[in-house]
Amino acid sequence: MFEGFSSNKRRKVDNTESKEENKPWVEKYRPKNLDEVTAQDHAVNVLKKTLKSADLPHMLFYGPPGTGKTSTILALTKELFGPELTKSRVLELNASDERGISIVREKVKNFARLTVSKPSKNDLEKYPCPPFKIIILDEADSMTADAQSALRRTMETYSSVTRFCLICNYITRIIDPLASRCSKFRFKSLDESNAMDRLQYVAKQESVICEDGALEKILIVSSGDLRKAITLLQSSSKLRNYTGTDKVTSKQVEELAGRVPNDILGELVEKIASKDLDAIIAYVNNFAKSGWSGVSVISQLHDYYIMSDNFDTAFKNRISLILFDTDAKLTNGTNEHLQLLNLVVQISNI
Amino acid sequence: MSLWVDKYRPRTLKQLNHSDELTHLLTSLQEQPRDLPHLLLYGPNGAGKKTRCMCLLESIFGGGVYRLKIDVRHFVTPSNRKLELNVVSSPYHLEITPSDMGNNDRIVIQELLKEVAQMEQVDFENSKDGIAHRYKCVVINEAHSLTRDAQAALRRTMEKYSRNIRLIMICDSMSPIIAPIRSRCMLIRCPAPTDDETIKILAEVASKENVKVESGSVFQKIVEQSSGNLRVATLMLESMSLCNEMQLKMSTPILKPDWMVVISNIGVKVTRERNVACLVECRSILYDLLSHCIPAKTILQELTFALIKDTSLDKTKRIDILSHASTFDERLALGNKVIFHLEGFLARVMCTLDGTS
Amino acid sequence: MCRFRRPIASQYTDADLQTREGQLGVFSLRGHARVSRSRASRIRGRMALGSDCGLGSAPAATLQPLNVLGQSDLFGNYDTQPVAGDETRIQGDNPEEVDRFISSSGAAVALKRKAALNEPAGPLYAQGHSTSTSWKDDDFYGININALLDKIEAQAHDNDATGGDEEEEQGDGGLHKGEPQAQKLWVEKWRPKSFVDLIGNEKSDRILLAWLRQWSFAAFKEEPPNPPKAEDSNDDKSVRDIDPYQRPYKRILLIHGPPGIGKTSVAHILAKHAGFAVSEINASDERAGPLVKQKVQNTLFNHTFNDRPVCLVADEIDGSIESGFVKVLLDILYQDGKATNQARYRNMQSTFSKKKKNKKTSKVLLRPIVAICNNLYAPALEKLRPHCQIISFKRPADSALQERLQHICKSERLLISKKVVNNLIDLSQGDVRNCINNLQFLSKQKYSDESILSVKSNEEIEGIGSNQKDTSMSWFKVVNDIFKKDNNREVREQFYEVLKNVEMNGNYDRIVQGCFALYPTVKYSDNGVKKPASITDWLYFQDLMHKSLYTHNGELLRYCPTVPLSFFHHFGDVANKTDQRIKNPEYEQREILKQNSDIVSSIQDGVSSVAPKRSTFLNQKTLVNDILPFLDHMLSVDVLKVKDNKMKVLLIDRMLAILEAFQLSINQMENELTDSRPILTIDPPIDKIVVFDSKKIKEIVTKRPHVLNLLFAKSEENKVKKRHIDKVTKEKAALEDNKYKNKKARTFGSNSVDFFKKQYESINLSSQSETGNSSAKHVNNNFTPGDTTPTPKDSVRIWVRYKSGFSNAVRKNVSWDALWQ
Repeated sequence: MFEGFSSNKRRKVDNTESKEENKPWVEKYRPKNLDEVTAQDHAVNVLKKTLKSADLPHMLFYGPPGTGKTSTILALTKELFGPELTKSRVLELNASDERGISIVREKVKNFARLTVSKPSKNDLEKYPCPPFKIIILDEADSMTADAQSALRRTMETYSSVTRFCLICNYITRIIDPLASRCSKFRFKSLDESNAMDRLQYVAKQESVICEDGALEKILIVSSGDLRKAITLLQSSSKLRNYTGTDKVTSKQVEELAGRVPNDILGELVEKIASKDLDAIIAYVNNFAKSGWSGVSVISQLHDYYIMSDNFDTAFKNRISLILFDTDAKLTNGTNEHLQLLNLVVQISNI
Repeated sequence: MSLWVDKYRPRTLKQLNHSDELTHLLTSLQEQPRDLPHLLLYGPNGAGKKTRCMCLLESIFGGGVYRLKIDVRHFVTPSNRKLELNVVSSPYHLEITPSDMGNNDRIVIQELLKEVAQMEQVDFENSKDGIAHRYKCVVINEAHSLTRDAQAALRRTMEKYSRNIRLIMICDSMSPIIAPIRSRCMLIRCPAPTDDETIKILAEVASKENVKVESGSVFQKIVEQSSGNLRVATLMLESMSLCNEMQLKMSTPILKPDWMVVISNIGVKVTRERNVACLVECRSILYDLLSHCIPAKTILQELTFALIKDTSLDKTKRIDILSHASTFDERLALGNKVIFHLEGFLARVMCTLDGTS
Repeated sequence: MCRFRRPIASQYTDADLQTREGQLGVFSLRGHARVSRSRASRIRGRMALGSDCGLGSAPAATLQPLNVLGQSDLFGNYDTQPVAGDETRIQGDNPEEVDRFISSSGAAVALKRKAALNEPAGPLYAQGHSTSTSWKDDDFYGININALLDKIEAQAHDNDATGGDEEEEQGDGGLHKGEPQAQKLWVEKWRPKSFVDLIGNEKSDRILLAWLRQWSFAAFKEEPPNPPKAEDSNDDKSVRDIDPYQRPYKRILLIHGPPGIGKTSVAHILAKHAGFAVSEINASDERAGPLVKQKVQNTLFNHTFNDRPVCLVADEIDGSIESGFVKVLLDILYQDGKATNQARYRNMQSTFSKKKKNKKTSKVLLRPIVAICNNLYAPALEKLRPHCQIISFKRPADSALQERLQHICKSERLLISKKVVNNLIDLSQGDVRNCINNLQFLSKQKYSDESILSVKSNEEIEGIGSNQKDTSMSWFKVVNDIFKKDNNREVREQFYEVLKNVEMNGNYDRIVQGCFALYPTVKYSDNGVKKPASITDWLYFQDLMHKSLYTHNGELLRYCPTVPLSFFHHFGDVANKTDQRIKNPEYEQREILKQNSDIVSSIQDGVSSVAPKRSTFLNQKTLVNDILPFLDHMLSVDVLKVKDNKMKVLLIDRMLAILEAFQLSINQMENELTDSRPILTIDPPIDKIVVFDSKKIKEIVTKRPHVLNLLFAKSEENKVKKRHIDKVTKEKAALEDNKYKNKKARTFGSNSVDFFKKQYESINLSSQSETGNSSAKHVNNNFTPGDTTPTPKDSVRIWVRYKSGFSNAVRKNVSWDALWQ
């Protein structure tokens, strides 16, 4: 019975090491202060100014995913309060927490009402601890309208001691009264150069060798979403261990991102151009069996037809209508095979 | 003793018998179990997503993953309704189907995952490299039916608790999954086996079960009928062999599920007579199908394919039928009363076939 | 609320007060018509003594002087004189309508109350209810249920005693006076009281009665009059013979069927006929936890003060949660099984005597239990079903129902034509309770001075289900009107009228559903199917608007009336003159769907309880679409035609393996198609889900039972073989174990306890080798009573007593791994 114990000595439970390695790179390389946040100069400058003056408005960050909204506000709180004070001064509620109207009425209100704790001398020296608390409501667009309404008065009443920061993707989902109480910061999606710098930095830190053009491919595929780009980099670097290559190739990147490889796309386009209905149907049946995601097929077809110069405007006009239609239907949760078939046949019919 | 589908199901990565590149990918993943990212497996039905998921888990955690037991967990909604959910668990992983709860799946995600994540794994099992795995895997079935709220709840949980939980989501198609989740996961495409691979697999099964097959074209026929669904192909093989005393000839009739036969009959009917009386008959057949638990989307899909296969029809008509199908598909997804839309589709098709539109 | 006491006398004259009192009295009584006198008087009291409540009836415009207002009850500065006046007033059953006051000045004031209108007592109140103030009698807190029950009993007795004439008189008298007195619900009044009152399902009634009679030996200790019928117990007669109490093989009876056809009534009546007193537990009672266990135990096992034994009727059992009531029943059955075995044992071997009385004596079940449900395949009933005898009740035949309704109408002096009765029956889809309710409803509409009501036209019927306002029509009529077009009137006018009707009715969903159901059958002109094709866009519109009910607070519902208009536009035609009946298959379809999904989930549960490994790969979609249809094909193999014997054996083995893999069992169930005799079917019935072809359905009845018979026989054979094999292996294992233990005993030295243990084991071994009964592995892991073969006569029992604290009583090796799993 004691046999099990002795082998324990041989066992190493790598606590500290595994902590670091286990973390996704997105978390590891999240900006820790405002300076590290790339490409959102407008927002970052304003916030830096407020750091000095310690006068913060209610904030509303909006923009496409992966552009640094959550990172910015977290970095801001770190810079304002320092690690110890943050626990008592900052409340973060995101979509994984219960955020119904009753929680808003109780939890949020109670936190907002508390008087601000006095920071210790140590903290005062290092950080500009301004005399208010911050409530971060991440993914605010998934809060119901009722919960949002319950928030408005709370925001006003306790604005002297609490500041709110709402983060969302679609500003239309925030009700107007709330949006009017906040100052809006638009986070635009990253353009190539900024993102490239960051990506190269991460690659260097993790010692990942990339083929030429692989990083560019990553950026194209993730279309402005830095989080997606870093995750893609992480997954492809893992993959190279098995495939035996040292480098990350753009082909791997494509496969991981779920994009249809160019040659298969080429075949599809050929069949469309042939206008042979039966052949198209048979080909699409096969295609559907491979399981490519409909959304990525549409976006790639879009790139192919609309971006290229081989087709005339009228044609592009009609194609874009069809593409838009199918995309809308797919987001509504319809049968992918059927919609894809319809799309392809309609295009061939133009 | 069970169906051949279960008997010959691969249990480990090495036994996987089609889509080799995918197998390579999975093998590479399990080389470094500590770095396992969140996974999203997508692909057509019957391609083996679940099987692959279990094989991957088996290679990471060992054979213990197959020691499953089923619990019933209770949840209370904010409106004080009590709900029950079946949770399948092994010592290493947990498997849930949140869409069973309907609109309340958000609560499952919030509570259950947090609970699992907050429990530190005390596991001294001897694993391959002597390092204890610190995380538990949670397999989410039918991830495409998750509501938007549930997905929103999921994304944050994925970030925060990635140390203790690794998620593996299985879905039929990626379109209903919101972009933030797609960006946090590694997307793994599970394609259906090609025709040749399927024939090979069927031949293997047949030889192991001592089924006398006349020629390879029998397999070809089966493969055509099952349209890429390996499960259906194997079931077809088994039922045909049982019904014909373990002998398969070219003349053996292919067995199809009853509902498919009914649907193709509807198609035939619609092409033949195009009047209101026929519509009424079809309506009662549709009611029948719906009450036998056949989902409306499947009915529409099969009906469309049955109608298009008829090559005697004019090309423009078939294109029109397709566009009608796509419109009504969307209506099915957005609306509640499926019988309205199914019957409307039939009426439209009849009009198209008449030449009036 | 402070009560201010004003010096009434000083402020107002008597006459003033009188009117004021009177007015207030009237107000209170009028405003709260059903409120009892006590409450009304209290309100009056408050209003009179309080300051102006703004009720506006009194001319009291003058404000009170300040010094008066300061006096309040709270501070106790009021006259020490007891508030006698108030008391007499409040409690006053004062016939003279004269109330006495004591004003603050001490003088006694007598006020005559103005005559108030009679309180129109509602139908729930009998005249002359008590007017005391204790809270129990205050109707504000609720009706005194016991008093009411007593009254009902008394009335029932009266009715019984004097027969039908009195009912007629009462009914007549009630209507004559023009006010609904203490009228009972007709459903309750006309509940069948005897066997002959029952409608429909005669055969099932007889089966039920026979089953109940079988308990007469157990309950009454008398011989049953008729020998038990063959259809009740298909298998082992031997088992029944051994049952010392001659009870039926399945101890619980399960009645299932659609609502409102008489299941509960039947259970009550037949139980009474068989001589039992009925104790009912239904969905309104506490059905979970220890409470229900107590109650059930009490009813079943203890003597009651009635002369008759009790029969337990468990109503609406498919609504209970599995761990509650159903578990209690299962426990009872289990205990009963154990006790029966013991009893049987005792019968065979009277010399056997127990040395030690077990603390928990298993009790034999001596009282019948009847369970009633709507959905046979509800998940709560899963575990209970194998132990129940199942009787299905169907909707009664239209003719029988008609007869009964006519009889009721005659007694209630309601003239009604046959056609209307037919309509009623259609509307309610055979639900008797619904019909009678509607009849009563109809009659209540006009309790004017007519002594005889007549329901002449269909319109009266259609008034059911909608508001009884004169201006609105029922959806029935609205839908039919939509399809009528009059060429003489302007289209615009008709349009407007249809719109008005639809909007007034407000039940858009129903109307559109009705239009959808009706349009294929009305006459209209069309080019092919153009019109149905175009109407489907409108139907989609309706669907979306209706969906907004859940998402946007129903704000979009206001656009729904346009859809029926489009129906009018498309399908309105002059040729539609007569009203048609609208059949709605939605309800039925939903029921069937629910039943089928319950069957599928029960299959899934079955698999997961046996092999969870496999069940992870199953979900409802794959089961219904892929697996079950092929399963059905596989099980429909006609094995009898196979000539090659080896092949036959192989096929049979295969099929048996499949049956076991999916936990399907072969049972005798009565068949709805043939309705003649029970045949072998697979349980749960997968053919119900997957088979559509009518030819195939017939085949299931005719050809399959032969194959299933063969399979059943084979499976029984296998079971016996397995038992034997298990027995042998167990013997072997026990021998080896014994050897090991002997070795151990030798090495550890003989301990006194060990010695006895050894002896015990060796003797036990020898007895076990004869029985091998414990290895009868129950296939379903369910307890099936009566399945265990009787233990042989000469197994010896050895009792070894351990001193507490002796730790080498049981020694078991526990591995470190086991601790962590």
